[in-house]
Amino acid sequence: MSLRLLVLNGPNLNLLGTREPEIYGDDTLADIEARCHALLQKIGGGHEVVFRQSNHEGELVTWIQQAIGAVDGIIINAGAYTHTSVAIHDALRAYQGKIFELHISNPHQREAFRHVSFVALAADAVIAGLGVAGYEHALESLLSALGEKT
Amino acid sequence: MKMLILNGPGLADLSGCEADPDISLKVIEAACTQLCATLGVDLDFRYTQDTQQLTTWLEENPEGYDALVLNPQGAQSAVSQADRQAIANALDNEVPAVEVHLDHILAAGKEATGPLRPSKGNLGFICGLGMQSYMLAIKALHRQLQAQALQS
Repeated sequence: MSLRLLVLNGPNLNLLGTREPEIYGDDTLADIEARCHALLQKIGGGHEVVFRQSNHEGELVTWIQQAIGAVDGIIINAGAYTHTSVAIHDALRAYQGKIFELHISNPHQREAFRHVSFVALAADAVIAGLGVAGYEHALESLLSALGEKT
Repeated sequence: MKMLILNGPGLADLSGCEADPDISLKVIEAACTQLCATLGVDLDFRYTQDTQQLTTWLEENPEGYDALVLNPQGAQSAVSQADRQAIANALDNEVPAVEVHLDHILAAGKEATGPLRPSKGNLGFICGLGMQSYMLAIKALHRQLQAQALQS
């Protein structure tokens, strides 16, 4: 069965490649998206992934709501909203598919204000600190968790 | 490429594992061994019930290994904050490492067994994938080391 997956990116992830490259690397979000599409092509099975990025909390909430019943799994890197957004938490709670929380760096090794995650409370799994390769790893793991052979 | 996988207290009995109730450490070891063989990685898979032994292994071994996977404790086991800090401090920041947990330990009500917070280096973190947490850690570290080898 071909699956539909959504990769949601929160605030400042549009700056990937230019913002603090020593933490987040040189790759842009477009580079990462291209590699994820290539990975799905390689895996086969007709799976689809849609990448979205917003700096606006409400827009992310709307996209999560639109995913209800329409998308088989969500990978969410909510950026700084991870640590603040009850609204994103509530929207994720309303979504019944699999949810993987993703971070490029490991928030638990950073400032104390990044140690709380409202996303984790609604997620099924957390992948962090694997660099930008984490996107491809999360995609493959999500397909595997949804019962697809990768 | 040599990889060390260390398992800490509480992982001998995984009957309470939420992510995968049928799992055992033997099954995990067999799957890790198979994946490492496929990738051409030499694997040393260890378990201890003793937190100090875990810390000693971390302090003794890192230079002999290219990568480390660490499951510091089972979801049900109690490890003191001091021991958890000792484990975090013993991580060598030169060796790529990933902390793994079978269960989703960041879910509500599981803060007691929360993530390690080493002050140096970069520690990857994976939880909630059951046995696949280990598989993903192995694949991610293998990919990272291959990329480093290409650059050097």
